[in-house]
Amino acid sequence: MSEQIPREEERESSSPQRRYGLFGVSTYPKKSGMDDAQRRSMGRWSSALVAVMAALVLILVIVGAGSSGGLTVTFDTQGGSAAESQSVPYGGIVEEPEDVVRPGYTLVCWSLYPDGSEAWDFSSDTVEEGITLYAVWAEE
Amino acid sequence: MNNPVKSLRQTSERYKAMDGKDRRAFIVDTLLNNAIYIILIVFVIFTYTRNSNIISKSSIINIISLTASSLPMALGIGGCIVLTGTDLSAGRTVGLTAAISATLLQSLTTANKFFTDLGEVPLLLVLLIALLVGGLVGLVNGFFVARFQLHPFIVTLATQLIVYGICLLYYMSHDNNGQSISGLSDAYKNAITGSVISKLTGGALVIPNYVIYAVIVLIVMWFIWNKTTFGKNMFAVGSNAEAANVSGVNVFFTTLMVHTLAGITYGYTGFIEAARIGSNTANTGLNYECDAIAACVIGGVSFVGGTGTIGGVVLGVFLLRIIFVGLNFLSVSGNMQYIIKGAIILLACSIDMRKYLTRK
Repeated sequence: MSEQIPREEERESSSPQRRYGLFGVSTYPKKSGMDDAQRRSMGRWSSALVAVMAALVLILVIVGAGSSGGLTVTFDTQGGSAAESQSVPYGGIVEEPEDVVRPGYTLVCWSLYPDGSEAWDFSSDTVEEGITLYAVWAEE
Repeated sequence: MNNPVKSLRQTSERYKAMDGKDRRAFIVDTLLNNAIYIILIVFVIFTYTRNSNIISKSSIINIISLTASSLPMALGIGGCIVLTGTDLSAGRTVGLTAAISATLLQSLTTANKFFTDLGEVPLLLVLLIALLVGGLVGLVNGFFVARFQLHPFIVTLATQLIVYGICLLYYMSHDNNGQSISGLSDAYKNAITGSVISKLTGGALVIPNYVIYAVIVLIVMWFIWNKTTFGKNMFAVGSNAEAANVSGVNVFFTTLMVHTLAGITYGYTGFIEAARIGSNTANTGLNYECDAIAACVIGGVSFVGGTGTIGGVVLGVFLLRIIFVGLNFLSVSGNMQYIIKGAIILLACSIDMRKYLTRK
């Protein structure tokens, strides 16, 4: 059996009401003391506030978009020929640099670590921050 | 349980029966109450035009994984908010339990092992310890709130500082001197961040295991909130504590257990985060409660207490996570991201207040 628990404002009682709210006080205005006109006015104020905040969020997002630029991927060829760094959008993939050679060595893979552990998969690994990819060589 | 199709039909019948002025008011009402969802749709479309990677498979899996990692905490804090309270100690409790879990589950071959002579510890035992520590913090919170009727804001502010101090002392002990804890055991990492689903789908869907665990926690919390007397008592106390007391609800015990349950979810989150992050410091968990509380407000857990649904909390966490990830895809600078996050929280609060004031 479910009982209707009346909201505090509708109840008439002289006992002290414990009401915390977020900062230890009731943060919302009490509804019970308002007449119709006051309530409509409060309703209009809160509607205006919601509309203003929603517009503000959208404006901030549009203004802020692109404010930090793309992510930079630099290539450290560890003794090989030069490779240009790339600017990649967040969550995007990196293009494997072409024509990187080192005399007497063959390219094994590119990796986030200079020692070659964890090879970087150019077809599926995505970029979420600025990184440096190291070329890993093996002697011929 | 609301049948969404039936309620939609009832709403459209009510709409047809209204005259012009009422219809305008109804449309405005609907638009404003759902402002966050409308903004989200606009936001995702806008982000997609700037950076199409947001609708890629890896991005969606990333959003789902991040949602799963912050969901249990939001469910715990949601209980506190239903009681018209809050819990500021959540983040630091996660940090402490993450530290404890990480130090007990380091790989045997790590360079700077915290407990140098410790062997393999069973995962479930460490999980139990994390839950106990988190539950203990929640118990202390709940006891001070329930017994002495202190404001949850002040109580949890105090426990937040105390837990942080304990965490810092813990990091300084055992010759660690404040260094980060890393080098976790493979069994631990595989259990949390490994992917059983990936093996099942042959590598197509790399969804980490903690997503599955979060679904289990979700089901448990749904059961507690909706199908137990404790859950009903929680909503009763949050709605009107005096009336609940008169109706025979043990307000002290309910308040105590809600905060303890929240603490248990923080302990669980710490256990998961330690493996998910990989390298833990005393600042792990900093400000986690901000995101969790914001998610609850967005999801309809009202600050006046007594209302809230599990589905709402899930939706709130999911929405917030999409927005945070989306801001990265939009290349919004870190500084602007803080401003936007704050504005979104204010928007959610003003929608909540409007619903409260315009309710007939």
